[in-house]
Amino acid sequence: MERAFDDVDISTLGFWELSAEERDARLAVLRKERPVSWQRPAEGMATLPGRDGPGYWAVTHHAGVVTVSRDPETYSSAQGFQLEDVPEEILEAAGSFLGMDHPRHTKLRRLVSVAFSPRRVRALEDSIAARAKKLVDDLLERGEGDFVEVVSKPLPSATFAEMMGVGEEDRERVTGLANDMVAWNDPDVLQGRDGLTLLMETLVGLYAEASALSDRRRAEPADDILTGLVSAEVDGERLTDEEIAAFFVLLSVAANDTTRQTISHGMRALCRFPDQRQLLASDLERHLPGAVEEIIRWATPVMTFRRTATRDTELDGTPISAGEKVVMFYVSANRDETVFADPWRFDITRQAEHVGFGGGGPHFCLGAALARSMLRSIFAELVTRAPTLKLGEPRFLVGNFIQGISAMPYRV
Amino acid sequence: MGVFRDARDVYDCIGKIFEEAIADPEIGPKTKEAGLTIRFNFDDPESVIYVDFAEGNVFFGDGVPDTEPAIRMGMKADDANRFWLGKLNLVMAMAKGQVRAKGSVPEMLKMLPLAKPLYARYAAILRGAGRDDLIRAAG
Repeated sequence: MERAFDDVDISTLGFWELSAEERDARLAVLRKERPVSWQRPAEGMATLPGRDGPGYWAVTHHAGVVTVSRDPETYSSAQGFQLEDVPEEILEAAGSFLGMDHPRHTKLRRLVSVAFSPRRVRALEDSIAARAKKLVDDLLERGEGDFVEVVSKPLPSATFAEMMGVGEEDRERVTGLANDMVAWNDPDVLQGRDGLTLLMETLVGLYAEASALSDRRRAEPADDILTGLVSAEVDGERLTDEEIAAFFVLLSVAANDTTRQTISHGMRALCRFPDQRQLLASDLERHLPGAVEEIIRWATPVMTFRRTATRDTELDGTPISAGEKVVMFYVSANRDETVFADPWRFDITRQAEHVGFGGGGPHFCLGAALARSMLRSIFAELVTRAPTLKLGEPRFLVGNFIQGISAMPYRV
Repeated sequence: MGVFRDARDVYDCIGKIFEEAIADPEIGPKTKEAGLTIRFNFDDPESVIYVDFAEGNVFFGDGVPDTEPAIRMGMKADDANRFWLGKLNLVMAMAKGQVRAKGSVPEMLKMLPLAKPLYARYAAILRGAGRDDLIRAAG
């Protein structure tokens, strides 16, 4: 039976070119009236013409996103994780354990999870704080510039590089590739290329970096994630170069394209809601943890991830058939008015739990503790030492995956 | 020294898999629909295969047409052998410079999934020709 697509269309690229507020006006209708809606295939430049599927279920409410996240047996990650129908060759090369189910997912994730444990992150806290302080020194000294380049980008880039084992001389290149990789629908980054060409070029670039770095780590082991990966065994077998490279792509994108955006959106929110900025500054110790969570909710750097139903099921009363695509709209769930009163008000005293690192379950963000640590450090510095900082109009990244700010002028 | 004895050997093995793909009742119509022309320049031994999927023709060596193909690919014949046995990761091979590709990436990505079901067929071609050594050489 042919199923009709929802009247509220959230699949066009035009939809993703709208401002966050305009997009949410449509999503709010779905949240309220049809929180699980059938949508036509998503438009996008990572999809081969004529190769998109029949459509997908859009899950736009908080409860639904949490349910899908926590039920990996019903909602598989192994048959694609992007809203768009990205060719399998690219997903395989870029996704690593993000695009796997248990038990492979568990085994591969375990190889790196120790590096992100709260204990290991605590041990990194001093160096993260020192880096944040230095970045704000630089920001103040410059007086004006691009907030993204001066603050948002370098903090996660340097933190990730140090943990992973990417040398100073390679850092800029790796970060640039990871940043470009998620920009497959953004005309400014594409510069006339098509999205698949951009994805392939950045993938090949990151594979080349991973391959060279792995060779180096085999010869000279160090205390970093790459050294762990080149010597790790899963089921009695060493990881292949390709598996290590896929890990590298996943971690570099996850590290560089999320915290970066959260810092930019967070600073913008603090400037737009001066009462909250003042409140935070008035008692940093008390309000910083809440502010960090609200910034994560507000920013929602990852807007969508997809699952595939493994069996016939039902979500919020809507029947879903085995094999159908189910897309979680974190960007909508984090504005769900039934969970967050007045969701477009930035309020650092909120208590409700956001889905900023996913809605729980086995794919919950591995770097959550690390991201929180970076956000605490940088906003403590920014709020106390740059009270006069003002931001100009940002340039937003166009796409259906990362909620990004490519550039944003500042002045102190 | 590569695994293939000479250019003729490359055409008999790699060339054959293209001919079988085109003739295949399931895969053939799909490659025809994609309508691509691809020129493969192999090293060690030096050899050239030009495949015109639209017309369903495979050309070898001196017989390849002068017309510029939609996609040009360059690699060692050994790596082509590994690819057809499912032992070569294309992204990694491109990252290491083992495979060079010029042309439309989307067109290439359209063709790639068609190759996967042919891996077993290629191995069968080799076995049928008594070339188990090529299978072993791929690792």
